[in-house]
Amino acid sequence: MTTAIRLIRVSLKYMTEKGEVHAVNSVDLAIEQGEFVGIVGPSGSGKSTLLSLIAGLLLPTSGRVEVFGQEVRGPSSQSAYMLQQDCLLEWRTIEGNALLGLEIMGRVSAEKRLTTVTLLNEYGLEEFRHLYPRQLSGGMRQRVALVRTLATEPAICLLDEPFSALDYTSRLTLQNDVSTILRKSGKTCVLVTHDIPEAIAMCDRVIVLTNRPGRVKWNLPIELSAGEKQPLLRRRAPEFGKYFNRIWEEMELSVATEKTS
Amino acid sequence: MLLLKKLLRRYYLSKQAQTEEHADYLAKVLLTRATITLIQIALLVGFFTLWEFAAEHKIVDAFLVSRPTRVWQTVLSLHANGSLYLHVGVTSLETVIGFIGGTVIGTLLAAVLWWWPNVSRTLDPYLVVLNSLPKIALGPLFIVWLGTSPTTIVAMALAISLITTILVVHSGFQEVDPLKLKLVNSFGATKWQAFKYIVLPGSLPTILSALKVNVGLSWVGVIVGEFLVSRAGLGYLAIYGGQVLNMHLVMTSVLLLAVAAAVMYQLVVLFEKKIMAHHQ
Repeated sequence: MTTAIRLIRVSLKYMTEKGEVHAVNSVDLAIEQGEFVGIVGPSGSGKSTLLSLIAGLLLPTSGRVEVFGQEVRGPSSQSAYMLQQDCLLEWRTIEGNALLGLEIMGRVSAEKRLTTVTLLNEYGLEEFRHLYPRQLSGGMRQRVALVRTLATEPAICLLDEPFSALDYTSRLTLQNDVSTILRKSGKTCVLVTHDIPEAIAMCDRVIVLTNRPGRVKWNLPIELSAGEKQPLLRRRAPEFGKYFNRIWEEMELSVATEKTS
Repeated sequence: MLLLKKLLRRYYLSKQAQTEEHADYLAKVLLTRATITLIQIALLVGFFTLWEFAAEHKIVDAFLVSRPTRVWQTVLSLHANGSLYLHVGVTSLETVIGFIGGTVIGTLLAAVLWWWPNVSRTLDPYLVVLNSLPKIALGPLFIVWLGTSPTTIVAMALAISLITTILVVHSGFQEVDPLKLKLVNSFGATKWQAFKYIVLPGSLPTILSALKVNVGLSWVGVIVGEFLVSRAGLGYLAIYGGQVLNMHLVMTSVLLLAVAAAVMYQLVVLFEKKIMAHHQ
């Protein structure tokens, strides 16, 4: 297997007038191609920072971030984001939104346009192509955001709490849809979330971070006897609760040590 | 009234009403709306009738406050010698140049401040001082610098609207959703692309509301400018009327001004609606 993402002793600190803030501290991490990895941890543990580092939106103050063996020196078309909100541009049509990434990269062609429209069709959005985002429901909007992410054909998808703004029912449905789509495409995915069951249901492996400055505390492969990849079915596996409790306890510990220190 | 309601109710029952209660409701909605419109018209007619009546019966001095019939005669005579359209046209044109210029130049300068945040931080106190300065005080400077020409009048209109436009639009630029910026940055957007794709369209509502405010400010600037220097325009007409104690002329200019300003504002609102159709 090829390693898609490798973080070698990655630290990031930034200066404020009060002093230095260490956002993440000496993180070592390797993610294989095609793996679906979840990152959980207490608030402020640098989960989102890790994603920004992989995406090249932030550069580490020390250490090295590699994507397919190449050092990351800035945003590249190899990785694409899905964010907390769908971030659809209200003034563009659904199709215009789906094409945004390609347009910014200057890669729009008749062929790419066709691929994007095909993606929209696949996710049941064909009749909404020429509508505007406000005419769509929250779940459908997030689906458009997914198409926008996939249209640039990234090898790596970075999901930064992509479902946190949705209501519970849409969240479960969309977890299922997004997971199925991404797994079928064989992309390497990193999911940052507050929601522990979401991480267990969607990921092959869950990484627990410590409190700030974030370090990898625990690396937990998820093996559910159901053998299913669909999050909704995985939630029914008998071990689901056990995984939840173990991760919960780890996070509690982190919070507890923070309070005593 | 009751008869009218019954008739309306029967009409709605034969049309879109689903139940009798729904028909009652629809009748009530229409009656309320009609009543409000009627009272609005009555207020306007009543005001002019009362004014005319008071002048006719010497309750007020028509020499000082004029009267509707004389205003109408003045409008007709201005129309007859063709100067009506000159004055309304000149003032409107100056105003349009003023508010479009103020909005466009203000937005461009706001973009400069957005592009170089440290320039913005450096200039901030000066902008605040300029913003609180009563711009009308600059009038004498413009007369000396630009002469007694329409340029001075447009400069006055620009001076009044420019600084607030810069401040308002710049703060609009800064309030653009940071997640959207993160998104385009993750696609590797350049600063110009971030501006073109996110910041400018995202601030369009702010820019349009600045435009609407500038319509009002521009009228003030233009009229003050015309008071100071001009040979034509509604402001000139008003000040001239005042100097020769022709109150009919003053009142006529004021009323024409009210109509022109209202029409222009509605046009801008229409323009805003058209642009904003897909923007929420």
